[in-house]
Amino acid sequence: MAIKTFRKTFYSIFILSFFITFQLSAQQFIISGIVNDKNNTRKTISAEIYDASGELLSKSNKSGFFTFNSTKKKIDLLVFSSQYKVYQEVVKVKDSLFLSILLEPLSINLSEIEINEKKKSYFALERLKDVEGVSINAGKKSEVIILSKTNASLAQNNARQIYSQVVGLNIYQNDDAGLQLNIGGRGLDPNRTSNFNTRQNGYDISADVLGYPESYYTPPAEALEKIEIIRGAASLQYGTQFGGLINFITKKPSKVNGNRYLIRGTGGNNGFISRFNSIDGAKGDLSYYSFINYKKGNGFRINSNFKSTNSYINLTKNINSKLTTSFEFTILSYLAKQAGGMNDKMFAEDPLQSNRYRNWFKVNWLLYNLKINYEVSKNTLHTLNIFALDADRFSLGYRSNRVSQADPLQERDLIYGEFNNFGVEYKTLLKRKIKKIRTVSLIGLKLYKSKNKSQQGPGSANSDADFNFYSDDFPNYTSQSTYEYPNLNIAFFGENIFYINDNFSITPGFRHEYINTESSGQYKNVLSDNAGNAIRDTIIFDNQSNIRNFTLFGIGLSYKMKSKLESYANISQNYRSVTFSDMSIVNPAFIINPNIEDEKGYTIDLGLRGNIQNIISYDINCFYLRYNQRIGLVQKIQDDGNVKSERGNIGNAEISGVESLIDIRINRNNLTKLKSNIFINTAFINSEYIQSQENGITGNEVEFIPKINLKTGFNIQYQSISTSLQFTFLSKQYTDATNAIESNLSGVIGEIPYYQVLDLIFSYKGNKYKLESGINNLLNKSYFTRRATGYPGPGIIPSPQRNYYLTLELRF
Amino acid sequence: MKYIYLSLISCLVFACGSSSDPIQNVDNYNRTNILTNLTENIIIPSHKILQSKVTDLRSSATDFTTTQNNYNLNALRNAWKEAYISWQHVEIYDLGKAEEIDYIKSMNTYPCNVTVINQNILSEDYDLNLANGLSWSSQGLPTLDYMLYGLDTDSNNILSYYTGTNGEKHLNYLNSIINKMETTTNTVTEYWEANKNTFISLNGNTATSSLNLLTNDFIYYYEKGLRANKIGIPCGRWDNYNIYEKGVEAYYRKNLSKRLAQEAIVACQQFFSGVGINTGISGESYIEYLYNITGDNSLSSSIINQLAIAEQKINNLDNNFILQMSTDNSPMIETYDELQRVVVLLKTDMLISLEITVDYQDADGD
Repeated sequence: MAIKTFRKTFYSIFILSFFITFQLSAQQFIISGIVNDKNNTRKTISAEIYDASGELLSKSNKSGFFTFNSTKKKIDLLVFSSQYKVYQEVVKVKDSLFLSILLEPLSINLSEIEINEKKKSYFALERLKDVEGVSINAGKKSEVIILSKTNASLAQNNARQIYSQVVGLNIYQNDDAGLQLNIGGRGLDPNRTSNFNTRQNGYDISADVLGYPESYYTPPAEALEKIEIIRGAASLQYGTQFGGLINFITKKPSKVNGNRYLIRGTGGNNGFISRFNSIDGAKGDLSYYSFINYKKGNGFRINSNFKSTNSYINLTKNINSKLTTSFEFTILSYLAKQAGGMNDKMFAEDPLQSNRYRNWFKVNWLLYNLKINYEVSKNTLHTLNIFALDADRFSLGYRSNRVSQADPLQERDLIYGEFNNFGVEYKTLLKRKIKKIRTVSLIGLKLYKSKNKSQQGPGSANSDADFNFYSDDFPNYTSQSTYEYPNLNIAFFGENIFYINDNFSITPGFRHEYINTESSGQYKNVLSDNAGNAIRDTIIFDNQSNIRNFTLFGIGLSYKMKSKLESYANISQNYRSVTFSDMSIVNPAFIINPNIEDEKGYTIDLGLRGNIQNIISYDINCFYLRYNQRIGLVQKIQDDGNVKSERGNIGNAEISGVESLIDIRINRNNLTKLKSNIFINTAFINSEYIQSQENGITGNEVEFIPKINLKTGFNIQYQSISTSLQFTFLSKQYTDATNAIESNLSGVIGEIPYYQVLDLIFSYKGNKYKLESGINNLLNKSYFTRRATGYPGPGIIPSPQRNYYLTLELRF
Repeated sequence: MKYIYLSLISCLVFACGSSSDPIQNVDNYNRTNILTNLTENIIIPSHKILQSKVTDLRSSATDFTTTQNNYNLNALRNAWKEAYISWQHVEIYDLGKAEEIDYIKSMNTYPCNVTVINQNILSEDYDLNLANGLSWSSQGLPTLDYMLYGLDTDSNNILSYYTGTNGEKHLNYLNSIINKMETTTNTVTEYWEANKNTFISLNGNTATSSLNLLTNDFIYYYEKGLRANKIGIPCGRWDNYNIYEKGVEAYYRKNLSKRLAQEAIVACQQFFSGVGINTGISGESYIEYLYNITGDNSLSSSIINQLAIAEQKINNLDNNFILQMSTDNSPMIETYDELQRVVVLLKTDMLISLEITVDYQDADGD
């Protein structure tokens, strides 16, 4: 099998490349200097001195002095300070030396956000530095989306455009306002981004990190500074999920006194309206950033509409130069009417049709966060992160598998979920030298406790968004259950970078998890005759508890050949926790294997990223993901002679691929005001179920994996005007493990045909205003990216056809 | 150094980029053979026999509509009985057109709903095409059972329902039901004939391949249509063996219940062994397929033997299950237990050998 040869090649390359590249330490020099104002050389400046790879070398103190050690012969220096233009110089180092740097003042004041953005634009690669705050990223596959640099339709949260430069993502595109993010990487199911460990500014935002890892809330793109993605190797610092980490970093409060306002308004097809207003500013030690985002629209299908309000506040206080605290509060509420799914025949007749007009979905999401940052010295940092979630969701509707049938206008199915959890995460970072070897150590402890509830039963027989249960009116409704799901997780983790020399680092790490997932509740077993007449009701109680302790290990290697060329490799163990639905029974035809365990496996990455003469930047990597103990159903004979569907760990799968992002700048210098670039983002993925207890699955491909996943774009900018053309292509995907091509009557299984989408985006940036506009799905293709098994279908959920938007932004 | 990295990249791309081999059935058995035999010699002939019985039913109803007398009523009753018996060979196939139009449910959802039926008769305001339980339980064979045997215990009195004040309304409803049975039976039979080749050509092993659908439908029917509906629910298998008379098939005709169950298990035996409906000759079937995989006939023999044991248990029951249960329920319970033993063989052993995934989760209780 190709995959097996691949595995062998992979290991040999993995070992080889790091023997070849190993080099011994070189001589060290001390570089010091002073930073002054160019117009007033007596004025000293506090500035940050970076090298071009983005590593912070030093900060100048109040007297303008700075100092750092280096073994490099050539350093590409960048000096940043608010209110000054960026200074760049290539310094050749033959001996220890002293530099005198003069900065030119800016005519206008920049906010912290703008400075951060400016900083980013100078660095060669958009990826995470070895160490950011209290996180270690050395030797891992990381990607960063800088929102200010994308041309994406931010108001619509258009994931296809925002994530266009993240490799290998499979995205469900079924929503024209981006209320819910559905992305999956490396062949993992995109549904509600549940195969990523999802965070906002470092804290968890999914419903329940372990038991219900679905993301109903994702922050609006307009409020974000950047999105960080770390693949499989994120498991050591962040825990569960094979997909890795996705961390949404909101814009940060300014440190400059006074208020700055941003007002954005967007209009689009189908009555789409979005308003995004934010304020950021500072008063003394206190700084703040807050936004409110309001969206509504009629959707692109009949029987659909939505209304959403999302607001956020961040208050940050610098208690002293070492101690900072911040408080964040987020609230989201939305109500959406959903048009349901369709089967293939219906999609072929009219891809936007709908015959469901009583389906509703409602979400309330409240997030709290308190952070304390204590920087004891340049080399010691402590952070304490306390967070809590208080949320609920309701889905109400007629969701029969017979999607083409008319709604019989009887009682609707109502599912309620309540999520309450809190967590504390303490991390400390220590930089030091052990016998001439520079090291960075990270130690962390996380406590996470949750208590969730779920209830399913009959909703009203009317059409309105009435989220009450009508159990007394419909006592014999077939799906009735209530469950409580407590979860307790304690994790202890650590990673350590050893800089063997200036170029080569080794980062081993571990994570120990204690998890107790419980479920306790009841369901109503309604015994009916063949015509559906109830004969007898029985309430069945069910309690399950699953306690486990395990340790994950991983190691990352990084070799930086020059400041602009790095190779990295890592291997890390991964797991995905047993979920609440794995642990509860709502029908006597099912049982749970008493030995059910978390799904476990590991990820290997091997990659190369760099920059060729500032023209071509690239990040090419290869990965191997082993996904063992996948949870599924098998038919098992019971002692009493019955056959039941038993849920347990039934199979192993492997996924491997090559991912690459190549960006080519066509105009290499700023001689003309015309700038343009082309990017090509590709992922080629293979997958196989290497073992399965389920019949006929072994040897099949894993579902939701297009063999080819291509996103490419062309951007051109002339002075303040910029335009982008972006093309997306995904080859066909299976939606079930049997690899069915033909669909069934409900449209739930069967292949998702290949699809391609073209987007055209335009923007004009003035001094205080900005105009953004675009045409999504320019060629007006009818396509779908998803076959939903239940909500919001079941069946095919179509993607929007051609649509337009216009955004006006004002800053003052 | 540059060259090492260049070669490294090309190695990577080469190693990862090659695609895996196309998937094949592990067993190398050509499913076309079994699909051809089952479709041509069992499924289509079963439908055609039913079609002719429903045509007979139609013409008996026409005669009865013209002249309501005991002779015509008996002829109609007889045609209904013949149709009900041949129906036992068709209920297995809930796929394709039949699945799309809820053919199985609209033909044989029992117990029928007397309240809805009487409402429909008198109001003359109903839609037999609604896809819900109330609609399905007020049409089809069980509703005819009620209209031909259940309106009164005395057949002379039944006749008077069709001749009395609401006689025309009763005749109209009777005809509507039979018309719908005739139309849908024709539609489904024509669908099978027209789509025969496509159906046989989908010979892979995925959730939507023909043999996967057919095998799942067969086991589901065996578990639900035969084991649970005909025996398990009436004998109170899931209700502490409290008997549930209303749940008996052909409840109003009474002494037909055993006959129908016997026909149903014969249909299952013929399907499993690939015996042609008209020819009586065994063709390519699960027996050959299993032999091909396991190298012997032990599993097939177990299935055939156990089906025979279960059939014998049915044969020993009273012609009227209601009578049987009220005098002694234990033979019904024993019948259920023997039927259940076949479920174990089919649903686990056979499906594991054939590498077929179960596509349904719940066929009543356990």
